[in-house]
Amino acid sequence: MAEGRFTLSQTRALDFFPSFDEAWTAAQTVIAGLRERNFSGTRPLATDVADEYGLRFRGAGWYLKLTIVTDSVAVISLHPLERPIRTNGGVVKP
Amino acid sequence: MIDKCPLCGGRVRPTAKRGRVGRHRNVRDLPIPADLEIPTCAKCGEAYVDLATGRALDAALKAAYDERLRAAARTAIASIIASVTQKDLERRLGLAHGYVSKLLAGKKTPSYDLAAHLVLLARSPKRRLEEEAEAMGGVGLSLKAPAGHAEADKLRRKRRGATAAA
Repeated sequence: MAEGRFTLSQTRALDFFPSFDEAWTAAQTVIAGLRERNFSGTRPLATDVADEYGLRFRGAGWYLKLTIVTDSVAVISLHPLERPIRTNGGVVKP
Repeated sequence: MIDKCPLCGGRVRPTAKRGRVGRHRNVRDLPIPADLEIPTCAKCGEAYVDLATGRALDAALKAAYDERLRAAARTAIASIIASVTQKDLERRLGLAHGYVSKLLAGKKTPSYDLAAHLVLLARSPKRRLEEEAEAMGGVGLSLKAPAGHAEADKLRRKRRGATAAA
């Protein structure tokens, strides 16, 4: 993923990590490892749609929501799951 | 940089303002420099951080975090040394000789654990050091140096005296 085409939302992604560096690394790792079985669904946003994923990361269930804005990927949410999520690969638990 | 907020559709622009706070490690309310521009939605206020902004943000928050630890340690030590000597404090906490002076002068940055330890000690230094020594089997609170140390001090003084006389 090109470095300049990637942003993290502060309140729903960045704030769950001890530093930006760790959040950035985690987001890169999670996104690079995404498979079809992680996909949960598409949700409407104010002017667009976002894809939701549920996956196992660092021994726990994580939630990822991202969308494409202009030419960059916006990570809207990246945090541990608050509740189970249904994905193509089955239910991912917190 | 994105220019439109995916959440509300508002305009996202590099924004610098006072009063923002951020997190570094386990401290959440660290001040973000007023002049640091962070792409922010003008409508909902959500910030979108890219790599360049994130690195600048990390550096600023780390500096604020370190300063917070140094200030906490300085304040705590100033209070503790009213009832326990610096040397004694170093011995009891297992710190290197002179380290407390460096903390007081702001020349060293303590770990979060040490700063927190000092802050708690400052609430009641003698009592807490006694409790710690009892619970952890550490050095007791008696201000009298242990026998081995007294012997060594005596020898050192004698040598110093001999050197001065020569």
